[in-house]
Amino acid sequence: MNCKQVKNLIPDWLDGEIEASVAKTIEDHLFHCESCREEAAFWQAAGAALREDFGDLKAPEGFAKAVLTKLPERQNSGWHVIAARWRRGMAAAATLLLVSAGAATGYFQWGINAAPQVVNTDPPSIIATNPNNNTEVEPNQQPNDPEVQTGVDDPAKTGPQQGENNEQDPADPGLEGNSTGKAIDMGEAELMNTGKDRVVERTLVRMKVDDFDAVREQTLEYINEAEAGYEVIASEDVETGSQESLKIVVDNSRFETLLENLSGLGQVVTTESSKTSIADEYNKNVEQVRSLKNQFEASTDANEREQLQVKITGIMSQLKAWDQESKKKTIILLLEN
Amino acid sequence: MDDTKLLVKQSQQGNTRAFEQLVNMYQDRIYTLSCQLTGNRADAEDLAQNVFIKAYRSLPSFRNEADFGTWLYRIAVNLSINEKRKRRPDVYLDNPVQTREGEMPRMVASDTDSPEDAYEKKEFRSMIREALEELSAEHKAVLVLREIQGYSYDEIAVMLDCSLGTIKSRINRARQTLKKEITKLASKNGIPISRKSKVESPKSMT
Repeated sequence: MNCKQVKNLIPDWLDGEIEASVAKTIEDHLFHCESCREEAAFWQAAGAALREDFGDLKAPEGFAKAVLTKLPERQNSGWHVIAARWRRGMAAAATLLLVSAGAATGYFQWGINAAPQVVNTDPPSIIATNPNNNTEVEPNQQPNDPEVQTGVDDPAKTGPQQGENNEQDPADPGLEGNSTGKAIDMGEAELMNTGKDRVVERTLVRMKVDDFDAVREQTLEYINEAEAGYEVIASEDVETGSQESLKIVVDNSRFETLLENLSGLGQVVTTESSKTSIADEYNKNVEQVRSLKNQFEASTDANEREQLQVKITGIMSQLKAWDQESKKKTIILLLEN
Repeated sequence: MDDTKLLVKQSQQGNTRAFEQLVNMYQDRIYTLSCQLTGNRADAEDLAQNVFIKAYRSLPSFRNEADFGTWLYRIAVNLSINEKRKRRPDVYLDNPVQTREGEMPRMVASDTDSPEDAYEKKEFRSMIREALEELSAEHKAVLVLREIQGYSYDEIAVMLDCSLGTIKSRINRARQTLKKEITKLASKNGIPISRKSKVESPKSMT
């Protein structure tokens, strides 16, 4: 065996992956050959160097909690099933679309990733007017084979809290520009208050419509009238028809009127209300942001501070959105034709 | 049923507390692997979180007879290959290791090394790390699994669902590229890479 062949086999030989007879040949060669011995020494040193740097590291503080807040919703409570059915059908299409309509006064990016605990012990009331209404509990996960290399799929579900571009209501000074440590202002103090019970009231309205465009236009008019904020959750066109979902957040005082107006736009198939407390998730995020802020204060590394700030800003936006949501009423509008 | 399998079963049934326990059990290992795959802590943290999130969603398709840890590793490798590289690597890992008890300064060299040897070792290590970062994600992954994690070729083949032949040739190519990169770096920095140390035969290696 010549040097080139031996050198080629040396790493495998060091790994113990060469069969005995060939190994013997290599060892004999090494005995006589300085150059190949150097090669072997190199690979040994290289392996050792790699292992030395990467000893057993510990996951950062609060890692498990952070993971849990990002897990997708478990769809096993009433109203989630209906929305989930649509979301599952959107496999290929984007699950979070921001529609810029001419008359819109502004829209928020709200993490739909909340996994609220259902606090209300009364079962959600379902008023079904269509006998064909499908409310069976369907399997709630897409089979997602890890071998299928999709990387970080479904950015809508894993992204929003980490400082991705958060569109803010232009009238709202927002949290941008908070890049150096600032004193906590009144608004922030309220956001960080974990003692408050934060309950989100949601009403789901599912409707059949004839003319999507007309209905969209009218919907936006009503929304603007009510000075509500909205977000398109999903939008899909299939051969058999179209589906669109909107999440609308409106002041308590304007809620009834808006709901009445929207219900008049088509044939209402289902209306369902629920109250859920997001206090758990909310408070988890407050803890997280507090911990990040401490790290920020303690850190002297500019890179690290920057990264921490991005995370902090992201979570603060999420908290703000949730805080808003808990002070108003939410309507989920599912339109289909 | 052993602990892990029970927790996995409960997680599959929707028990998030059980899943939280699984995260606690595997987080250090996955984080460590993520550091090795990405080369820097910030990306590693993202990758590690994504591993568990992906695992959570894929629970329904996980066969509980298989090894959960190996499965997580496979997810980690696949995600690292698919993610675009985001940040520059922490080339000098002399930052103190963060442990729960406190901070531990990293060992640079053993007591028996002369200052020259210690310096050379450190430089060598940096170069290896830098060279590793130049590899493609696939090549880096197999080297990490083989050299750092210590998996055998067979085990790696099973983990990545490739044939043994594929893994062998991939590791071979990865090593060739690594050596080329190191040689380039060495000549650029004027660091000698031929080492006159004694070679231990594989039998004496653990």
